[in-house]
Amino acid sequence: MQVEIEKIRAKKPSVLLLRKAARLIRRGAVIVCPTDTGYALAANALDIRAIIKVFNLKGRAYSNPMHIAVNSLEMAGRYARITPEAEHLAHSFLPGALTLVLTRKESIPPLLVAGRNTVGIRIPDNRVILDLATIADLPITATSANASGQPTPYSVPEVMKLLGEAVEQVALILDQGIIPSRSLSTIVDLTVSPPQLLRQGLVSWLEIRQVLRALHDPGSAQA
Amino acid sequence: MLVLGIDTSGYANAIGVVDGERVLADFTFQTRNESLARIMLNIDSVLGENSLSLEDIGGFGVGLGPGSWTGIRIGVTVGKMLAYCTGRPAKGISTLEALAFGAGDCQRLICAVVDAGARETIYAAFYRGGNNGLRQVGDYYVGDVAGLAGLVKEPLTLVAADAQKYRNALGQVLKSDNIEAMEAAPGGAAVASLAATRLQNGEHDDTLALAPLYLKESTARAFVNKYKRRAQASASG
Amino acid sequence: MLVLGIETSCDETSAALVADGRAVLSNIIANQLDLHRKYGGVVPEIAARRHTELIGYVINEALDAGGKSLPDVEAVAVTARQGLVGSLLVGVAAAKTLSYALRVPLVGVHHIEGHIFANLLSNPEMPLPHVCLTVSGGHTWLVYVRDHCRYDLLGGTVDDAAGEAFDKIAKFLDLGFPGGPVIDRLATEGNRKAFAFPRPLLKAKSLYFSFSGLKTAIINAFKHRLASGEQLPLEDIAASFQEAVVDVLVAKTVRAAKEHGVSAVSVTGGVSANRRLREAFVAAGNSAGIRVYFPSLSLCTDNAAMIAAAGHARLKRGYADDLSLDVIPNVPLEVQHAG
Repeated sequence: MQVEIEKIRAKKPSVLLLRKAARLIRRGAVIVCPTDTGYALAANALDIRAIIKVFNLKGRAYSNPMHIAVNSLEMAGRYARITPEAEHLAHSFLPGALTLVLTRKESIPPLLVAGRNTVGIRIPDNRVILDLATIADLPITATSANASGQPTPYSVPEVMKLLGEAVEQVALILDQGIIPSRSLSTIVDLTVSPPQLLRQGLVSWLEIRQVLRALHDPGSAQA
Repeated sequence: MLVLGIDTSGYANAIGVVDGERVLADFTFQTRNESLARIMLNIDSVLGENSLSLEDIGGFGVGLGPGSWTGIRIGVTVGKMLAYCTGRPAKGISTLEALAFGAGDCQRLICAVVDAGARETIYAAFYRGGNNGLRQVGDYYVGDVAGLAGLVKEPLTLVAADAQKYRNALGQVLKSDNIEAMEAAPGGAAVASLAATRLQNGEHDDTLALAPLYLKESTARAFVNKYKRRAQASASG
Repeated sequence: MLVLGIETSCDETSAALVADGRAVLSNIIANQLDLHRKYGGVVPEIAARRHTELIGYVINEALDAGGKSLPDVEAVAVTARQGLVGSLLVGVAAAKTLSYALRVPLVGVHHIEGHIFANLLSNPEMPLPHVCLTVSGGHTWLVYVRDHCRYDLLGGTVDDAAGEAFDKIAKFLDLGFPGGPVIDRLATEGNRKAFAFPRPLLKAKSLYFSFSGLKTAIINAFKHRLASGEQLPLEDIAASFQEAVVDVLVAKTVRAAKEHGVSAVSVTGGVSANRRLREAFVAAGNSAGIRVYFPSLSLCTDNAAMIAAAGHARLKRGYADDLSLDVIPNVPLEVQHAG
């Protein structure tokens, strides 16, 4: 069975195509979607069956939590507790390649996050996934479109190569071409004090720290 | 003082600019095997995006490694020549310290680790953060992960590109899970910040003498032995 | 135009100032023989480390010795093609930074082109076109030099470079490294007709060379006697070996010149310092009505002045590189000049 691949524009993605993708997601399907840090497996992060499909597709251990992509901090507020730090960082760096780990709300299934009481929130700097989250009005899983442990794909041919036969379980691939950045997102845990860098990606930790310091000590650094 | 920091010890161009304590730019270009081809353009791009020119830079921070020696030599040579051409001072900074810099706010002991690229060998160093900046604890370490475990006497934050991998390996040897992992690569702004503090205290290096931080003489010998074996193999052909 | 030249393609770190492509104001060469001698050959990682240590000093010294300072530099030329990759990249990294900081043009040069210019620099009256033999520890090439920056590769070694053969024979006879100078010296005391070593490919129509057969023949002829502790006639072996190499180099170069109708030949590279080679070339040239040119001794081995001169010529013809200049360790001279 040939998986369906549809070309989609990065700047003004086709609303018809996005609606089709949103329908699939609402029905529990898994699709491949571009983000600012590579191609992702996108599914309804509130739907247990869809979550299980993603874990199986990747061969990912359930002890490895997944992050979610939303279109704004307001939307994120439905699924996580937004702190002043999160607001400040979102103001400075989002949409962007920064994942904020925050305390999750009841709406997020524990299965998604390995039973933890935290969830990683992304607001990617990519029109396609942002609009998809808006139209579907759902948080979207934001995990790379590969088998667990493999490198991140930045083009559809790479996705096909990495997923292999498992690609048959994908309902649709949105092809935006080559994603130029070839970087991962920076992951910061805002549920601990002081906030902790978990992974250095595209957004600079030193710049993040600087913004956080300005929050607690407005007299210091000026932007 | 505006300080430009560069580190090319991973397969990347890490470039940053600080103004005293303030970070103006911090960007890592993933260059893989194009590190030499892209370094000047990347430096120019970082300066340009912040409306700066080379003339505005008051000092240079240069990542000395350890790491990929081929890569490090690019950054050291570029840093040295930038300082030489502008007549501004330069300060070499160990890549391990630059790695640890991001974890400086931690209460725990910090362990920075860099892969040596050969036979399970790693380079590592321990640091303690605090109000007065980072302080190195003990000597540099060159060896395998098991040996590093022998030096660990307290809960750690481990900073490395493959932090999870080392955390798991260390955890196995130590039978402990009290090790936090921070996945990071040395950043340009970290190098710049560390250099800025020292340059502001009048502490700078002899520009033309800047050289990579080769940690052990044995690493050079290892190259010679490998080269000899290869040469012998091809000579008999 | 004042050009700062940089050369770090193998184990010599060099910087030089050349004015208008012909006046050498300074030519600073720091060789690493002491480092590699004990290993019997160049160890790439060690060479690269040494280049990094020395590059700043040689550049500074080249300016000082040339009586100039950084603002006087109008262009930077650097060996970017052909050589050890770890060594080349130090020179190119330095050159790019200089070009960027001083805001002057940058030009990458092929190492062999540098050697061709060593002779043009030493002998500005050399006619064009001519045939050039570059022969060193790392290279043996026959090039038809049509004009500056216009070359046709005629032939080269299919195995060892001529200088490499000297090094290997010297190593076999336990004479140390490098082999050229010591064999040259010993040979003056020896009888070059004592042994009739093979002259591989000498009669073959092609302009290609081969030296590993000669090396093997000598090793096979003497290894048992050497192993049994016998005192070998080193002077005679050196002289006869050298003669075999010289015969082939001279014969093919003169043939190439005749085939291409040129009356001038240039011999460059480290081995061109060899006395017997020079003597044989001049004699053969006289018989054939061909004038043979050699660079001055300081320009025979790897040096930055030849690179500066080559760079100057390239810039004059509109070739320049941008800041994305990268190193290419193995590329034929011809290919990179296409177009």
